[in-house]
Amino acid sequence: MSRDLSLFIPHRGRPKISLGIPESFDLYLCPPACVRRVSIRAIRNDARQHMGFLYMSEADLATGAYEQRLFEAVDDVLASLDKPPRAFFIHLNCVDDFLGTDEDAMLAKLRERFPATGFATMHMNPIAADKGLSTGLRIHERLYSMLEPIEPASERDNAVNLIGNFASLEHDCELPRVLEAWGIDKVRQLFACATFEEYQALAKSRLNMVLADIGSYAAECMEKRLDIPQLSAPVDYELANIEACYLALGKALGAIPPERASLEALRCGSREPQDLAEAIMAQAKNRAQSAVERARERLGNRAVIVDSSAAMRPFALAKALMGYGFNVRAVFALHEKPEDAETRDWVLENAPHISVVRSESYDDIMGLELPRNAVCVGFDCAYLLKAPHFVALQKDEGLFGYQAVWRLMDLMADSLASVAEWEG
Amino acid sequence: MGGVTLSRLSLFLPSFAADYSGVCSCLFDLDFLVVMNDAACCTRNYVDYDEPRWSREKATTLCSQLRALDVIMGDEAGTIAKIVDAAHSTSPRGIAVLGSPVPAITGMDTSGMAKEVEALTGIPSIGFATTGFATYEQGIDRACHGLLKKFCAPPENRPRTHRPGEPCEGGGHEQPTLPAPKPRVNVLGITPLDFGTVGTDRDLESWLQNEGFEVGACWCMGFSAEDVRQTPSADVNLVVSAGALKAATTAEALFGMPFVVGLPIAGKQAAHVAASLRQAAASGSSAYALVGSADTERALEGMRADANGGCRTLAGASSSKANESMLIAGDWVCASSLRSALRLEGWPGNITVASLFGKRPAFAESKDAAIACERQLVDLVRNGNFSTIIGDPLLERIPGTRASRHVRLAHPALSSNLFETEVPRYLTTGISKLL
Repeated sequence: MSRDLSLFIPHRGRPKISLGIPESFDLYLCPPACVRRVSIRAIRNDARQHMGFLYMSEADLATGAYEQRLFEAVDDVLASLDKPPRAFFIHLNCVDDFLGTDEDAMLAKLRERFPATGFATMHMNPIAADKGLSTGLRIHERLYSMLEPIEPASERDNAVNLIGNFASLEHDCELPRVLEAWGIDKVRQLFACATFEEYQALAKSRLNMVLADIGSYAAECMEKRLDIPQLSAPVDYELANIEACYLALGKALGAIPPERASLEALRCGSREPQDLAEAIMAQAKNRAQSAVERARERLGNRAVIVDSSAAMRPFALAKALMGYGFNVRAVFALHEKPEDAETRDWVLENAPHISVVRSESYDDIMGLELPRNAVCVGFDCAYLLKAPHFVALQKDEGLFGYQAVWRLMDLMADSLASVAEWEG
Repeated sequence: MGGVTLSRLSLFLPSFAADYSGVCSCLFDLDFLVVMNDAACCTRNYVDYDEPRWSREKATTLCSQLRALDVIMGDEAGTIAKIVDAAHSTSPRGIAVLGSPVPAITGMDTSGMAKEVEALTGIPSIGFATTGFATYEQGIDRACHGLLKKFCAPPENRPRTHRPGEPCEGGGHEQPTLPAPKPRVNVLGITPLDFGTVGTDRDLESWLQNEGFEVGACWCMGFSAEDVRQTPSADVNLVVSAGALKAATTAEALFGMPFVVGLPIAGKQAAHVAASLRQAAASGSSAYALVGSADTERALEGMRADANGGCRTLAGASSSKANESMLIAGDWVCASSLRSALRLEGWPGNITVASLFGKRPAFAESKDAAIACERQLVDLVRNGNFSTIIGDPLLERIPGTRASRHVRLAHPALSSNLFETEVPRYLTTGISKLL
């Protein structure tokens, strides 16, 4: 991330979920201002009832009284709830990095007082973005930290967890059907859990599919603590990578022999699929290819701009689009991630004509002379350019596999049918 | 629940707009480079939840991306260098350096940083020791006060308006050929945090013009740095929200400008405010245009006499409502003005004003409450037996409010953009319609 002064693009009204564990309570211990957006978002998402804020005063910080206030607040929160929460998270913000709170002692005391409730701390401290793991990685890990190891191990079931995504896969995604064809009974996702028991069942799954890097540390910890193997399966828009991902997934599940080098039916359309899973994948791939052709036809040589608000790996998306023959003119990498570094280097080396925008400065962007009639994939670049044609994709949400390709292609083609109106 | 400890626990309402949002909101129109010394969240709070005017061409606040190492090493020079660099490329009219919670607890010297920035750039710079522990009205107060001190000087030709008892030019004889100048009025304290963007700022200007006033600077919507400089040349300041109360008293002390506190809500309240402004401009004495406060009872009597027959009653109000009680929760000035409007229109019951923002002002009545925490609001609602509660839609989340009739008047400093369409347009919507 650039360390210059940073200009923020407004995300007013854009839906953002409130991540949490069912039947849990989140108590934020921080200065009042720190939870303005958390609290408004929670009300918008109807999640405020599972949330409390214990506002620190400057005097509390000077005297250390906030720790005692916390114990009293937990008492009061638990007394106010009809049913005690199964998990209780205490959120600490940037200021805590400078206070030296003895978290272990605090948690030990809480666990002793309330043995039926699981307590954990969670740090929301972007001020520490320059050291160690990112806030997002750590928060994801904490969300899975309440899972209990299953005993005995034979109770592990035939389910797969999706980790790192923020929204359920769209109904038309082929992944669940492919998994079913491979004998997987259930696909589990944290935010789809309605009860604490459903949440605990995540510990029974046999594989963690990590759909976005933000879930990688959580999966790594779950592998160590819960003995659940993990597979990195980031959302990708390049057909060859999607096939490679399904091949790795099949092998991880034991559905494809380890020695097999490719999914022939996908690579060579004329060959009959060997099984139902391959048939599903082949059909999905065909749909994706047709969508690419249609979108290419609609867009012609029109410029395309992609940004990091649309895809977790915007350079990977740009590379895929270039491969399909689209005229990619710029990548807005306002939120660049390490997992995209390899494709970034590829783009910089192989497509030097593509502008890479890392600044949110309006003047800097105007200096690039990007075409106003470009199809902008992502809100940030569309907002900055006031682009008339805009694909409202957000962080790959709801997408995976070949469905990600056809969905994106359909959205790009459809974007020409309307003109976005921008204020200001 | 009870006691001091619980006073900081919030279970129902959102966190309110912070002091730094108040400063940013006040400076939004002034072509300032506003730098928030924070990691990211504070700037994001302001941009996404407290500034509806933010747009592609109009974006004023930048984030310094403060990191732990900067704080530990006390590296203010790095931030200053970034500000100077940005100032050279954007050439702003002024620069503001703001604090946030971490700078507040580590003692970052925003005023010192601003002085250094000013020395290095030659651009007027102000440091605001905002903390994120305080609410928005304190930020508006800081910003108004800072601007007054930095940019305003006493006018050379005060007073503009003829005041009783003072000699006119030409040896004290009237000069009939020259029409008296219109009293010039500044508006203090209009921001989207209290009034949204529904048009109240434009309504205020139109209303002032229609009432025969010259419109001065409208702090803090639709004004410029030049308007700020011209502020002391006006005859009177009209204070429409509590965040500007101290600015008004500062302007009175520094420049001898009287002020009138009160929002001209459509109807008799507007007439009351207009009369108070004329009187203040003529007499040089400040006033609260709020019926019920000691200062304005006399004015009310005058209005009643003018109306030749006293107040007519509010539609629906009757003697049967005399025993009813009402709670108005919101900004001190807005809520008190609503009460004043209700009384002027003949509402017979008891009305209590409560504000979640700021200390009790001088015009508060004995039963009015400065709500320091959510618990106090819960207790007030539980014990108040209010038949009607006027305030933000989110007040419905407070236990006990559902037993009362709730008149929803959105207050963005509380509910952000959740109820944008329910922000009242006070000057064009009569009190009967509001209720």
